[in-house]
Amino acid sequence: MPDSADHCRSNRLFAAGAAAIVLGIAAGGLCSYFAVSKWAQLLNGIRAALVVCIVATLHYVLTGWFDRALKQWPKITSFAMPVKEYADRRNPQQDHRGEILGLIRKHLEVFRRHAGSAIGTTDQAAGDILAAMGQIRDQCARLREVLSANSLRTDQFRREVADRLQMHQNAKGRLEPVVAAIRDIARQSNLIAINAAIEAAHAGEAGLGFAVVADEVRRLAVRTQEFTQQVDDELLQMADTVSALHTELDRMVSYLHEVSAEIGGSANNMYEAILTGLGKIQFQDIVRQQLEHLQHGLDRVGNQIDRLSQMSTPEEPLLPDMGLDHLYQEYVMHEQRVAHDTVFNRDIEKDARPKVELF
Amino acid sequence: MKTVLVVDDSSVMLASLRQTLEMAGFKVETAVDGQQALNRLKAGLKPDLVLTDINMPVMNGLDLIKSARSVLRFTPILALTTESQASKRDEAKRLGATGWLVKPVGGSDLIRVIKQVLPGA
Repeated sequence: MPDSADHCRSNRLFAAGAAAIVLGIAAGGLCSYFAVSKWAQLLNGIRAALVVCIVATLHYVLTGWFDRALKQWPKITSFAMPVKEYADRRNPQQDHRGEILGLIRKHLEVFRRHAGSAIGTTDQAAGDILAAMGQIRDQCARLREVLSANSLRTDQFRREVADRLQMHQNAKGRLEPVVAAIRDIARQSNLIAINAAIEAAHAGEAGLGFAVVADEVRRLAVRTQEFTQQVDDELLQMADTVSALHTELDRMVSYLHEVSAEIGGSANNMYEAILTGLGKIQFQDIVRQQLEHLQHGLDRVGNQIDRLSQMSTPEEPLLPDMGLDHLYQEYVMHEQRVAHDTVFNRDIEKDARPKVELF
Repeated sequence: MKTVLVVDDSSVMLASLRQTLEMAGFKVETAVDGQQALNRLKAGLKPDLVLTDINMPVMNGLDLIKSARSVLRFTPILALTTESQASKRDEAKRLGATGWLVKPVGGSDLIRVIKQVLPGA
């Protein structure tokens, strides 16, 4: 059954169509009144009537379309309402929240990259330090080799010089009885010359020539004694010089050994320092692992932020599982667990075991 | 000259330990994870001591200790790690580890411990 609105609309359309026909006839009449030819008047009248009919039809069609459209409007608005409500509810806060989360995500990525960069930097630095320490270690080893070789050469030199000095000492020892014999011969020659001179004096004039010979022999004996004394003095001086050389050699060798020992001690200290430094390098490994754990933690937070960004309604849980327990299981260092427990107000487990434990 | 097999996934640690041990007169062999170390042992490598990290990719130190004990029955195996968890330390002991050293360990201390478990070194 058509409702009252439909009825009114039909009446309006009927009145419009009738008015269009009357207007068309009236237009044709006016045209015929002013026209020259009756056939032309008739055609103009029909044309005017057609124009009015087309206008009336268009009016009908357009009126019907708007009418139908108005009838559908409640359905369209009812369909659009949830979208509108969603948009009203989501857009201002949701877009703002998404923007903030996106910004936090980017910051996390920056921190993650910084951590990665720090790992690379410490890796590079540790490698460079190791290379430098390797060079120092090699130089140190070379120094120790040189010191060891020098010590051997010093001892050998000392032995050789001592042997030569001993040879001189032995030669002096061999010369001493010879000099003593010469001295004795000179002394006896002197006595014989004196006796010969006495005997020549007893012989009187016949012994004058013999007295001259005896005197020459006595003088030769005296000179021999003088030379013997000089040789003896030279031998003694030589012995003193050899003895002094021996003493100086011992001092020099002792000094060289002291220097070698001091340098050797320094080399040993350098070795110890290198060993200590090599132990310290392990801190890089510790820092690397901590930074890697930091990266994992940042990744977890980033993933949760992505999840938050994808949430459509605030009704979804705003505190999703952050995987903290799993993160805790990944810790390897006592310090990491202490930091975690401190933040989450947990009881801190004491690290009572020794750093080095043999089973 | 005694041979030490060093297992660690950190190149810095491997280089550091190599220098330390070579300075003390040891010959050093290296592997970057437990699996590589195990492969070398099965291929015939007979180290006098194994020094291994615990947290490593592919095969961790605990699995290495467990598997290595079938090849090296009496060879000392020391764990050198940042891991401080008591349960893992106890597990290592149960699997046959000789000792547990928490990084950082000074070079001299490391040498001292090695000489302690490796008489004659």
